[in-house]
Amino acid sequence: MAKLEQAIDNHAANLDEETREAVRLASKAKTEKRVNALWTDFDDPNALRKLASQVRQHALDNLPDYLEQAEAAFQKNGVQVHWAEDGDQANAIVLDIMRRRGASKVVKSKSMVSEETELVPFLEKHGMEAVETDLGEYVVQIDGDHPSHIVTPIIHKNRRQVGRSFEREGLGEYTEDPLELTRMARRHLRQKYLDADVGMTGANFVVAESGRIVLVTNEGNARFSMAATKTHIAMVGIEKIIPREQDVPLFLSLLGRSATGQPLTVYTQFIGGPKSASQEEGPEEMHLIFLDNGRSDILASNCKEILRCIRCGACMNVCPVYRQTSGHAYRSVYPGPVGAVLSPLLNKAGFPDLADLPKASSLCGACQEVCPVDIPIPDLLLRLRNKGKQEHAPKTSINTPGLSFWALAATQPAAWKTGLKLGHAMNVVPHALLDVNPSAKSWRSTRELPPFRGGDFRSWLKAHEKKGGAS
Amino acid sequence: MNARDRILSKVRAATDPLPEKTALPDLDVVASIGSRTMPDAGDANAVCATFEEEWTKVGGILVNDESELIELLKSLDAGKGYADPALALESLKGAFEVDDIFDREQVDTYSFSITRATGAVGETGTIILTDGDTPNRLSALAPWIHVAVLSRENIEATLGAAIPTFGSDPSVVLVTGPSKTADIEGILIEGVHGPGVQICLLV
Repeated sequence: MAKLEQAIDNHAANLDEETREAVRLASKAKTEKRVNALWTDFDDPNALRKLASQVRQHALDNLPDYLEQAEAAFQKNGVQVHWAEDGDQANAIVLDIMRRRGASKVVKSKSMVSEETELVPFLEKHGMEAVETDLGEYVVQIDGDHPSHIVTPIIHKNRRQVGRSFEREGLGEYTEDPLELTRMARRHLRQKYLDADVGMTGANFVVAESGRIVLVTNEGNARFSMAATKTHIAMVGIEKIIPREQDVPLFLSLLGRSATGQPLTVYTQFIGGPKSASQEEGPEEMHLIFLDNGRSDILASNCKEILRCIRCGACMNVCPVYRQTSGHAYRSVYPGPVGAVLSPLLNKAGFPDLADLPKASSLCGACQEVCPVDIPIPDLLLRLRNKGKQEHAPKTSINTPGLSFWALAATQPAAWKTGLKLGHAMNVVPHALLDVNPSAKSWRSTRELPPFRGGDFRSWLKAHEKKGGAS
Repeated sequence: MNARDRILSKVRAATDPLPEKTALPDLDVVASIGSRTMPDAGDANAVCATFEEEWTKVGGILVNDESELIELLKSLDAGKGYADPALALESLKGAFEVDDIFDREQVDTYSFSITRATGAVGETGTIILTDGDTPNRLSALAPWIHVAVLSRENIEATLGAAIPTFGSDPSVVLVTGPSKTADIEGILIEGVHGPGVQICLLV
């Protein structure tokens, strides 16, 4: 096989069969669930996608006004609003709140944005105990691993691996029974909630009108984080805004069905402020951190549509590349088609470092077809390929046959004619000789080059014109 | 300039030059999106029937009176429980040891809890819990069995219709069945951090 130089190809080539099969089966099953849920429940799910897309794009086009409206509404609800330009600032704000509250333990609900800022390692470095409470995220944490999917973080692991990890961490004796493993996590994490000072969450939506965040989980971990602790900190990307509370049902309808095939996620919380005065449990303080971290740059770019994303994961489930490579191949927080656009743009180490990701697509368009907010992902991938070329990012060109030869032929009629004549020579030359070029060898490893039948059009046209056939 | 002003000015610089801004769809267009399970909002019986059907579909259990609840709890081998004192469940107290204060220190000694549901959504089979109607958040979450007492007249057809009832409550929790996960190999397991058995007592 030809030498593969793209990091994503290398990762896919080295993926063990067990992981590849786990990812392929799980993503296929989720794609089917999504289709069933949407087409069973609605006459025209596409109309919902278009409408949701319009609401999100409207919110982004008017983002400064909505952010100011949201800030005022949250403050009116007694929420302390903070702003962070990057991950470091956001993490520092969390640490500062914890120190002021005399807190040392935080239970964390699943949040992609805190993966982006690498909050947990940061807090641990500063002597805080931070525990992930989503079952999948907890496994990722104790294994020192990274989530490989934004909705199902351990899609790349099987029950035996989880069993070994739980045994190692002293949660109980080794078992492969998912039910018993879940019970072990329940017992272990319950005490973590009760001991914690701070509950940390993200938000699925931020409602500008009412100053509430909307948060969904199936396990109930965000709810527990906000029932057992005295301080709630929510870290959210500035793009998460939904204008009106009455817009929320549309988005929840799409989010649950697109992510897991559920009409509504089990726990859907509308949180606007600290606990009420009569309430015995729950946060006395609520903090909201608006995080930019590159989003305002994306908003100013020709890829701003990616900010409509509501993080359902449907695009990765359906993507033929994701299914083969698994999420870690994308070397970033956001894998799959959305990640191929978002990750290079958000990347701390700069765009060129991940400039190969926009090429990890056949541009088949399945991602846009399933996207609940109709993001034109294939178009955005093309724009990023162009960006890579314009900025001379070396990773944009890896394994791409040079086009200089074609450009020469296409601008010189004589060279073009000679090239066409040479085409016939291909029919007598052994094709194995092509393998000197690695790209040609890789191409040939799974295909046969068809016989060349072209090159006769010019002579045919000349003869045709002579006969006076052209009208 | 502080971080807030720098972020807002960058966002403004990105959106100000847009030649045209996407219009916000009218609320009635957004609200007209209903699934095939959406009941006729004007027909209270239909709304209640849809709730019962959808609640059962998502794994919730329905009971219609206190004696039925007692039988169910017995069949589930329930031990000590907690009930919101505002609910006068006298015969239940005769059948089980029932605390009217939820003691955080003994959180794992309660096998069931009974609290009030503020309302429900028919279309999705969802009960609504609020800070105002739940004296103790942990009580409605920590025990293995949770019973929400729901008045039939508080069931709305859709989530959109239920939202105005949230008022200024700071913590509205929509619960659609028992706590669940499919994180391990996509296998569905009920009862992760919240209740494994979610019951609704309709009154």
